[in-house]
Amino acid sequence: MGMQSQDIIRRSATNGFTPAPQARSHETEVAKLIDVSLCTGCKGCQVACSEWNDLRDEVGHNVGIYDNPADLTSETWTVIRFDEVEDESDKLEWLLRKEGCMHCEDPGCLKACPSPGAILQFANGIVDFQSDQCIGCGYCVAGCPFDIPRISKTDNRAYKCTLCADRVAVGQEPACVKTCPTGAISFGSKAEMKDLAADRVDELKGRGHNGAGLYDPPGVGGTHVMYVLTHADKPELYHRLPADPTISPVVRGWKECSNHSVHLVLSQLWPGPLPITWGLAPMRRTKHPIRSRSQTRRSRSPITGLQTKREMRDGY
Amino acid sequence: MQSEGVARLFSRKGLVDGPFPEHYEPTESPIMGGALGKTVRHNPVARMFPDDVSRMGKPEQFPYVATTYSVTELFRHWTKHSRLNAIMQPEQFVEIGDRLAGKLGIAAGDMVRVSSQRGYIEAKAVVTKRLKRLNVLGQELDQVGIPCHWGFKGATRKGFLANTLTPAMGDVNSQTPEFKAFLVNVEKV
Repeated sequence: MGMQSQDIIRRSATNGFTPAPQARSHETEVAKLIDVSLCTGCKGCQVACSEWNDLRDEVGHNVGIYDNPADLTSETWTVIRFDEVEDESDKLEWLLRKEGCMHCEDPGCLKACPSPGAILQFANGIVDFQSDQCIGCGYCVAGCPFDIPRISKTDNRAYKCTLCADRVAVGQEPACVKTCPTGAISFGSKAEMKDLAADRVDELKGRGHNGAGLYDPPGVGGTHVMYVLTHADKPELYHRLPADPTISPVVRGWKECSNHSVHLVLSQLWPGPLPITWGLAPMRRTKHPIRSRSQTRRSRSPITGLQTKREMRDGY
Repeated sequence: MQSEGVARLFSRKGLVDGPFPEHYEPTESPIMGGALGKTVRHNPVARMFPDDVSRMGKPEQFPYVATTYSVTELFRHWTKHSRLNAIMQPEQFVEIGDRLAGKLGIAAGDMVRVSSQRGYIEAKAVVTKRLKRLNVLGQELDQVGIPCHWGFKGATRKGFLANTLTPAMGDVNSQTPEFKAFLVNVEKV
């Protein structure tokens, strides 16, 4: 962790009283761009992921498909999905998709997590699990709109892709990006990746893939792992990639209500809630170029008791 | 182009057949007529030992065309000893077209027995749309894909040697074995 602790912008099960560290201001939002039209399904990314992260899954079984291991596990953080799709004219396409954590801007796992600091979001957009804080409740599994986290049967903790947070912290690309032999996976700032994707989508459209497009779903605030899909109009074709992923209302509800009620209780018990909120509010006003994206709406409004409750509801 | 104004074609002495390649049907073929409308079906100069000829199957018993190949996750029988490669493709499988699988009542993940005149293997079935039913000279032909990486002890799960099925017949010039086209039968185990 070290210096990375200064780049944490959200922390699971943590209320809005304590502002995120803000001294450092250079963190750029990063993104991984996966161009499915360039993927050959070699699984080099799966091997590189296992190598870098020292993961060795079971030697499993063939269950009648090419996907192996057959699903994500606590020891397999990315899997290539192979789907055979025939269109109306019986033209067959073998659609491949590298499945793994999407590193949502609004992470459902983090929102659902009841253990303080078990899930962190960094200023560069990476959502990472802190295994020592994980209590193995599985709420992150329920909270994830992409069905990504997996609970280990050995230690009962949740695991998923870290976007190689350790490599990115020292200026390297994730291991899967480094190894991909066809250049189907790219890594850089989110803005750069969107530009790259736009060029690629133009090229694909020029070659007759009219449905080509970028997958950066707004329902979760965009993602830091994005896809260039040849059928962006039908993302479900790619192994049930959700067309409009959102955090379940149940997760949203329980988290936001509980934060709300904590504040109500506190405001009843605390002899002087207003000085506290006044004391906090100026810190909130300090705008961070990156952090402001999640905090703008909190820092703009006048400080009132009502507003503080809203702050609490927005807090993580 | 040579100095006399015409091209010359050089060929090594000792070629049994050539220098231009000619198409013949594989030794084991479901096509009973000659290749490409010719009357000759097999290469007439192929070296065929009586023992090998007796081990050739007939389409009546072995109606499906099989081919062997490699998959990206494994290299021959070498990388099956590496744990990570074994994780990526852990267990022997054969690929069967969805129409043939439907006809034989085979579902993805079922164990199937693939047999030729020379022996049999048992493997998991990967049912795929990629192996299409072919129409050759008015005859409907189903294909079976047999990746050959398992067999021999290694980090992968125990499997059969795919070359149990293949014929001992070589190209007339190079003796490259004819492992890309032969006849098999498929049954659900």
